[in-house]
Amino acid sequence: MLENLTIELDGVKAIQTILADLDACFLHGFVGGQHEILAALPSLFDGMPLCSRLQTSVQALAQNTFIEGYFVTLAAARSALQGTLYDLLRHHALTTLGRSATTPTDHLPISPNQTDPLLDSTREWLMELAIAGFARLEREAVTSFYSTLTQLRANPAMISHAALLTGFFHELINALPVKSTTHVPLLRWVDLWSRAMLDAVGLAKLPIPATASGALYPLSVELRQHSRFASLVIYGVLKQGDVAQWVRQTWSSFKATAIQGNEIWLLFPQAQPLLEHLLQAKAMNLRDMPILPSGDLLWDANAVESGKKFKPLDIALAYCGIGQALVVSPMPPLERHPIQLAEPIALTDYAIQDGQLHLKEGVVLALDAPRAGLTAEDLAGTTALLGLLHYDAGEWSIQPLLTHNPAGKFEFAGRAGVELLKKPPKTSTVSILQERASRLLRK
Amino acid sequence: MLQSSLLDMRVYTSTEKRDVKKVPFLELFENRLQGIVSSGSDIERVYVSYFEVGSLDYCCSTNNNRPCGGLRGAPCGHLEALLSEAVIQFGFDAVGRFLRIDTTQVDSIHKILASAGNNTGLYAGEIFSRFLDDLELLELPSSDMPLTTMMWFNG
Repeated sequence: MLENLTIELDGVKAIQTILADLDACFLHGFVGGQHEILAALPSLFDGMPLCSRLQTSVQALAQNTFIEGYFVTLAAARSALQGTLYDLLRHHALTTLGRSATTPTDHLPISPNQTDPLLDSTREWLMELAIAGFARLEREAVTSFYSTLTQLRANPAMISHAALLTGFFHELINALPVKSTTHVPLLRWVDLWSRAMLDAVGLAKLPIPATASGALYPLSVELRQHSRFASLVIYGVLKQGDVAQWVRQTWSSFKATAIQGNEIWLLFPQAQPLLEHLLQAKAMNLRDMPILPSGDLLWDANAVESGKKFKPLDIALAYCGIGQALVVSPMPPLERHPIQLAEPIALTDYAIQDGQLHLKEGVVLALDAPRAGLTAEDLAGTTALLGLLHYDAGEWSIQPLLTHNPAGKFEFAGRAGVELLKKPPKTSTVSILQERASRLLRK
Repeated sequence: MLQSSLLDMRVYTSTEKRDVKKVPFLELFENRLQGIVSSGSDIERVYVSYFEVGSLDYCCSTNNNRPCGGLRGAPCGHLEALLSEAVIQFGFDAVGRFLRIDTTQVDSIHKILASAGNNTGLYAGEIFSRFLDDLELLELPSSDMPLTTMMWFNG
């Protein structure tokens, strides 16, 4: 089945071309009109509610009338296009893996019943960036956002906004002055811009969690980070009766810039019990653990007790192999984007050559370089792995997270960090800076 | 060639350990390698130090805007510590590139110090505020919710 993975899909290229055209507007900005490119947009959304809003926005923008609602509409259109790509690619991946596509769960509408001054000023800033264009950014246009950003961070309800905007803000600052258009990672910046703009429309109501009971097999862990923020995501298979579901637990924290490498793990003492089970390959029995429709657990330490030892690769192959009926929930509608594709896949019968994974079906998958994971060296001589299937820049790739070592014992990405957290050193960058913070910030 | 939504975010990692007690904050920012260096004698005192890009002009003063006593026509020990720690954090080449040094000639920390410019005498209070902003990040609440936006910051 896997041999079909890398075939070209109908519609994908067309959408990517439309996106590239739209993104070109953001390179030199909207002053001077982008009429021809923008004029083609509304017809793509014929018969959809977005169509008339797009028509109004596109006409106004072509006449240099800049109102932030028009830019929100552009972000919505772009998000719809990326969402469609996500659906196409995900459907294809699921078919290839022999999994049935679960329909999107009840959507959670953003209900901006009250405006928030911080979000208002975020949209305003994003609009100014777009009007100027990423290739013509002035330092002042970027830095003017700083005070809003610090206030956003202080509001726990806006942590998702703050994590994204902090990363985007510093990425832009570090890129200044933009030397030439080739130095602009345009797709990425318009992605970040669109997501930030849509998020800034209002605070989404949190979906109501269900509860889950059963055996949780922690299988792998991944660290996501930028200079001032880190997220730890722990993956596992949850068995409830006959149903096996792929689940995640995320913990996130801001960080000082000097905290790097494995020391980042020290920011997550609350993750230690679950990580200890990953390290020991011990299941956890859950009783009424809150779980979101997206498959995300909301960890409650009172809802778990230690379970039996298990063999991680055996569990991975039994539930995440090709043709296994693993339930993997799709992203909530507004968050759909190809970057969010992360289908778990357990493989055997592969070879590592030139840093790539060669499958017996003839398919060659790149090992995902930008993401944290096991390397080609880690995989040399192994015969089984668990990874996440991703799509980016027109290519499928795999981010290996779990395999075995020459002695046959399981090995996972991030082990050194987990071991550091298990026995935290007496002094670390984290403890030194926390001590400094308590000394200097209380004055 | 299609563009990527990701950046290759892999950061330089040194085998040598950063001395954060000595230099709790440093960055390559705008036109300066700048940071905060702890006093060797007084735990309440820190020094605000920087080198400017290109000229390698420098300055070091306490956070109360008193000039560092160690500056006698050449970079002081705080500036040397700042530079050494920057090399550990970012790598010699990245630091050299940032400061616009010809690293084929000036190929050691010692040689960078020897080719330093003049003492600007200009206290840069904003470096200290940036240090405090950095520390404040540690005091912010953490979260146990899924944050899909961090998918763009995989690294």
